[in-house]
Amino acid sequence: MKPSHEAGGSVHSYIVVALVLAVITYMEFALVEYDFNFLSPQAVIFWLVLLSVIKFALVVLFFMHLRYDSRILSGLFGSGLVIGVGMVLALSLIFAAFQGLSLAQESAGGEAEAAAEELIAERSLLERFLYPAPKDFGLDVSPTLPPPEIVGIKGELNLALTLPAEEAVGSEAAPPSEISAVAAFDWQELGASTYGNCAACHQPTGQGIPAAFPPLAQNLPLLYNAEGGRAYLISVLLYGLQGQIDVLGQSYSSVMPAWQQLSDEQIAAVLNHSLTSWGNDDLLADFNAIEPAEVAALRGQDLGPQQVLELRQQLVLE
Amino acid sequence: MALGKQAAEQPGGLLTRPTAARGIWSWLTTVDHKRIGILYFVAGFFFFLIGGLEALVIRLQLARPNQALVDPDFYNQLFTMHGTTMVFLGIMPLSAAFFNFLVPLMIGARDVAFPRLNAFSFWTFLAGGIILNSSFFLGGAPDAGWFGYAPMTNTQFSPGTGIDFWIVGLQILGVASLMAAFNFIATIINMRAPGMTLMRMPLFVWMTLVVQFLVMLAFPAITIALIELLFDRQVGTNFFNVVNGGLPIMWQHLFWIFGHPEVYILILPAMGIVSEVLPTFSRKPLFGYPVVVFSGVFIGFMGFAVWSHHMFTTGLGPVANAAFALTTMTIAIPTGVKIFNWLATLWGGQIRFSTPMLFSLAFIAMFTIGGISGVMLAVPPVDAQVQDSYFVVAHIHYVLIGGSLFGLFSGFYYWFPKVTGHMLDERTGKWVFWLMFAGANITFFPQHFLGLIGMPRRIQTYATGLGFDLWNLISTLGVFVLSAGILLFIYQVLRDIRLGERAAADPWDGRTLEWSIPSPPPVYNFAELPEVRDRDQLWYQKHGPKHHGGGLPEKPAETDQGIHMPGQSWYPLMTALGLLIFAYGLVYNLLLAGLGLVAVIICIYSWAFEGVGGYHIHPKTEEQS
Amino acid sequence: MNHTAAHGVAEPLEHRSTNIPDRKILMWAFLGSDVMFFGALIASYVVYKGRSLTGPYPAEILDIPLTTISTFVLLMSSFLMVLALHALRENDIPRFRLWTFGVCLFGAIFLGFQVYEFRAFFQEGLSLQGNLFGSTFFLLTGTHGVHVSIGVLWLMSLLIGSYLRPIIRKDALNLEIAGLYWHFVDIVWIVIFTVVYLVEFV
Repeated sequence: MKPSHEAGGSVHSYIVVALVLAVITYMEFALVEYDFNFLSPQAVIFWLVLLSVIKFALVVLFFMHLRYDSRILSGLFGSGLVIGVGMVLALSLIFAAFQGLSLAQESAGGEAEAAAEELIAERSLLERFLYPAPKDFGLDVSPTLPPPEIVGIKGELNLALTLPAEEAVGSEAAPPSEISAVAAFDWQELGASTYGNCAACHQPTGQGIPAAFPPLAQNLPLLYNAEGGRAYLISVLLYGLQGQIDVLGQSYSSVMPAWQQLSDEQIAAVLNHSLTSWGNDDLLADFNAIEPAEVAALRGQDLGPQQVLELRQQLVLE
Repeated sequence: MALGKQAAEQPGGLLTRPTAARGIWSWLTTVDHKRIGILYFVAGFFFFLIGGLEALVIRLQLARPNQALVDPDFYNQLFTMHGTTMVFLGIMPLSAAFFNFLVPLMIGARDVAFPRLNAFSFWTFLAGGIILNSSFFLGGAPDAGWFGYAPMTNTQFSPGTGIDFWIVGLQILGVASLMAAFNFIATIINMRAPGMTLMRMPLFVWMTLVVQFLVMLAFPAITIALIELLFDRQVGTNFFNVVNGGLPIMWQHLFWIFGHPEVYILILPAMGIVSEVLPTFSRKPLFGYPVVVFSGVFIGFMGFAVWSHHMFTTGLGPVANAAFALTTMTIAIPTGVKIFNWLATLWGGQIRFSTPMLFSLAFIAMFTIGGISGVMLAVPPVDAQVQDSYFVVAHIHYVLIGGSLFGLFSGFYYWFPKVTGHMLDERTGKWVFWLMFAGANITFFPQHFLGLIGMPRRIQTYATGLGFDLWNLISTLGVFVLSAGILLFIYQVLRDIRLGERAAADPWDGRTLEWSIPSPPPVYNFAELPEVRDRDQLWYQKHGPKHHGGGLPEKPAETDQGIHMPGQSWYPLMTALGLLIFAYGLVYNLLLAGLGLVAVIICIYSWAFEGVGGYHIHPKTEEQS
Repeated sequence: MNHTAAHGVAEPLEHRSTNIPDRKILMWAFLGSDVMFFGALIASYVVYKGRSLTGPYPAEILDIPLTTISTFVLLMSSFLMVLALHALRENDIPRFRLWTFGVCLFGAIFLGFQVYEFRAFFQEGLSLQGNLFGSTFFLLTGTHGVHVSIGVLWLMSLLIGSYLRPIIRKDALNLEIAGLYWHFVDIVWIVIFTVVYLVEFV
């Protein structure tokens, strides 16, 4: 006699399920390994997700025999599944809503462009809600980047740390080669928006926080005016800075993270922005805007934050 | 005790099966849910006092401006440990004490589904408490706040072992909570008395069930976050390491995906208790029982959809902020529904203002205040203004003291006669209530003002002339009133547990099954499994029409074997001990951790081969003899 | 030593509100919880995807043909698992032992693939410390590997136990619960295979 709780299928059904699982696994393999020209990358991802959902469901329903078993057990497992999937989706959305964009742009071919346009169309719904005026898609692809005044209200320590998502996409979406075609480097707006990354620590006023984060106001001109200061400032952004430094008579011992994920344009723009804000421009000996090409030239040196500290010690400050 | 025991043959294990009926050994090896409940209460209350002591020092330090009673470093440890202790070692185990003692009694069962696992949960919880508190004596306690934000917790900013203790301590406590959650889910699903359908379960059991689901689904998130942090600290991974692209904000997400359901883990048991106390002392059934049940379930579910409201000021962007503000405000709806149901339960009732009732009424008032300041905080611009200020401190303390703690005290006064067989003196009880009620309000209401005029939380001291002086002084004075209430409570319990008036089986004219058996309950709980025909079964048995409810339950299979009682066991304690060694090993020495792990594995195998064991009791034949 | 003695007292004849065994509810509750464990790990992987500052990057070192084979092995071990349970319920002890041994063997082969893969990745410069991909990848697949190892140990224990004392069809519940765990480990891999491996090469 079969106890009522012993749910399960027949051997025949198990064999069928196992065969289907094997076939699906081969299909997944084939989708990735062979070239299906008629399928766009989005379509391939769609099929991969669908196939793995089918595999998942087959194992749960037949091998774990939830199909034949009590609904209470489905409820126990389902509660975890619903909340778990919800969590993964929500976090992916919060962090990487626009990663698909860069993916589409990197891949060559007309389809990818069409797909990117599709994404733009999708995105613009959101964007239209947030920013009534249409944005230039080429340069500033970070619609979730809050405008500076909002950043100003939030004097929150972690602000900067949430933003690299959009920045990273920004750099991928706008590779330097395309931008260099632009004749004059127009950094004002880009610099102000990129400064959102810095404001959490250095504050919207550029004053920093005493003993924790050094001020940029009054400090940057000193560095810029020194010989080699221009390159030093770029290096700080590219490679970070770590160790004890003295700024305007106060000692700081903290970490400046490296911002390699920002594009050359963004780094140049945010430096120009900082050098000309908060009364800094009056203190500059003579100001020539930093060009993206200068940033590009300093990339790839593989410096550590401690080595940047050594660079700083070599500077002769007034 | 002349219990009819059948000595069970035991296969040889590492340890012989313990059978001590009294003395310390019986407590160390007990698997009786009632004893484990008492153990949870004693240990939880002990840690609660430690946490209270930490709070007292914090308030003394803040009583006047520019004081230096404790230095800033120690102050950081104090508020970190105060938060961690109260959440994980105070309110959670005190709630667990009620789950353990009451859930089997309320559903008409003789024990939980897995008695040894239940004991393991307790000992593991105790191990976690020991690990966390021992850090004070082993090079400094954790000092990064109870939510341990990265990157403050990395090796650069927290080089000591404090954070490591915090990590492993919370991991161990997570194991304890998860095991208890699985156990109670199985118990409530499977061990209800005949006829006890889900919609006939007492409200407290319902809220317990929701809490166990929350534990089951929320603790994994913090477990993974803690593992990632431990790897960052000890192996050098990059999860929260900015230099290599890690995102400290990810810590906040994972922590609050756990942390917000955790808030409901703390408040829902108290809501369950209040939903039992109010009808009893109003002599009316709970108003709108199904609505209260479903709003509890809805609160639990929505608890997973609001975590980012703890992160409004981290630059999530307007869309995410708006979405999480909406979900947060949505939660206020079922919560409000509950409050109105409680009020409607009182309406037209024959109210007795006994001590449990007073605590429950205070719960409604103070939880409403805390809830409303919560809705204020759900508005992102408001949150941007008062975030990390004493306004938030006032909010959480209204919810956790006025809410959770008062609910638990209400339950304690209500069920003390059932647990001990002695009544708590009403006059002293009312003194305790008014002292605690006055103390909590004097302490925490001024903190709203402090927050609004800009006093940040977690500061060791403040300058004079900022307008903080008076309110801080009043707040500190309030703590003394609150402490007086707690001290009087301890005195009262120690006195009345021996000298209190003998309690009858049903001193309050109760409604639920635990009042149908003697006080204190016999080890087997129910001589005969009750048959449940109605919600508020006992009430209808006593006062209602016969066969009020429909659906005649099926008769349980009669056995002449007697009542099976599970055997005591060493292995829950030994396994927890192995985990304790493992945890210290993770902090100090991986070899030691390996040793602990081996001990745990040996214990698990021995546990599995030990079997349920036990003996049989024949309550009826005993009565005759 | 007969079965009853091994358990001390005969299975308690107690009232239950449903016809599901307690331990099965416990296992499913654990699996519901374990979904959240892996959910948090997968969320970490997905959030950190494409954020590594230095290589090696996933597309450079992941190997689809190799992993497809190990995925197939794990899927087939699940198939053997249901056959083993079916055999035990039919009281066919020799088949039960054969299939259970097969599950353990396939599980061990999967672990072998994983060890080989980890070693190869280490040699190509991927490490827990090197970049975010290394940290998230090793923690996710490593946790899964630990789950597989526990499953193999569990099933081995049941298999060895069947030689030490007579196994009867009532013990099918023990095997069913271990099997639920095993299948769960399998479906987690289905998700990991797609999210970590396949999507990388589209």
